Amino acid sequence: MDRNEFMKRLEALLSDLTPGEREEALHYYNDYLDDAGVENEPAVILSLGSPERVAETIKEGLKETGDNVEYTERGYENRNFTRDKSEVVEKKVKKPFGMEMTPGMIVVVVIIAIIVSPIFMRIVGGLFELVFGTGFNLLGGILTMVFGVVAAAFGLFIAAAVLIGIGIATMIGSPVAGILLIGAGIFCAGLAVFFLWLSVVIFKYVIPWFFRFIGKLFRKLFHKKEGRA
Amino acid sequence: MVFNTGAALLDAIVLAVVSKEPDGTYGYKITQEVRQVIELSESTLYPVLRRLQKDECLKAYDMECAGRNRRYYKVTEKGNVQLTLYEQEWKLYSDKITGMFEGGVNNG
Repeated sequence: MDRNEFMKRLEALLSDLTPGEREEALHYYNDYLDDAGVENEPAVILSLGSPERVAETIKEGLKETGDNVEYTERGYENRNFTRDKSEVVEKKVKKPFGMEMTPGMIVVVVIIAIIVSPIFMRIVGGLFELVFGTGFNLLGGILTMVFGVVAAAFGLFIAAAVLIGIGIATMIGSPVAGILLIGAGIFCAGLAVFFLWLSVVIFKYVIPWFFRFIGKLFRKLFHKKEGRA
Repeated sequence: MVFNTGAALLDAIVLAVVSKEPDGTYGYKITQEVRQVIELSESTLYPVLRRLQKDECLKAYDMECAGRNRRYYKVTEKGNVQLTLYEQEWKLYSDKITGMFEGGVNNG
């Protein structure tokens, strides 16, 4: 393909651009071939690749809106989206305190989990009440309480372990933050022990009492053969 | 080369090359000079120049040369500011990498 053919084909391929953009690109490549010199023309045309490729590169360039541009030193040969996406991700990750965010986020997630788990249990309890009606109100209430307390104890133990673990790891880099995290972990452990104690009390006293109560209720119902009020 | 040159670095290199010529320079010459430091296909430069123009980092003008109008590019005031920023960022970045390669120093 000689220069004239190349430029004609390129012009035709750029016909969907605005006249200004087309003129700009054609001017550039015309200059480029002029400056390369007549003796280099065939080599340059060969290394430019097909007019289709050049046109594609020009149009791709126009599509970009500024920030995340998608071409590299390899030009059209290796121009693909996957690599450029990884580049964009790199940029985002490159924040000064990126590393310290991760333990912080874990702590937040753990705390949210602790707060949410009893609430979730209460919701289950509430549904239970709805399904089984007012007569079993007490059953729902008790179950809610038991599950809530046990879940809280369990969640707090996990939180304590996680906090203390992160705290020890953080000690190496920043002792103050590490001590803070370990302290928070010990606090959680204390709360966990309290809830554990509460669970034991419930299982030992409240549940037996509850079953006795239910038993009495049923005996009443069957003996008197009366409906519930 | 084993390392990729991202869009920002390519912008920085092009701005640096153009800024070396206070009277402006042209596409073919820029391509040849950029190619002295990184691999660059002949068709890669045009979109970069066009974008830098749109971002007002470069301005284009035509100048009579050997009986034809050659298009020249010049770094604008904004382009200079951008280039200074790129140079600072590059220094920080390359120093960190070099430090890690050579000393394994962890100063995070």
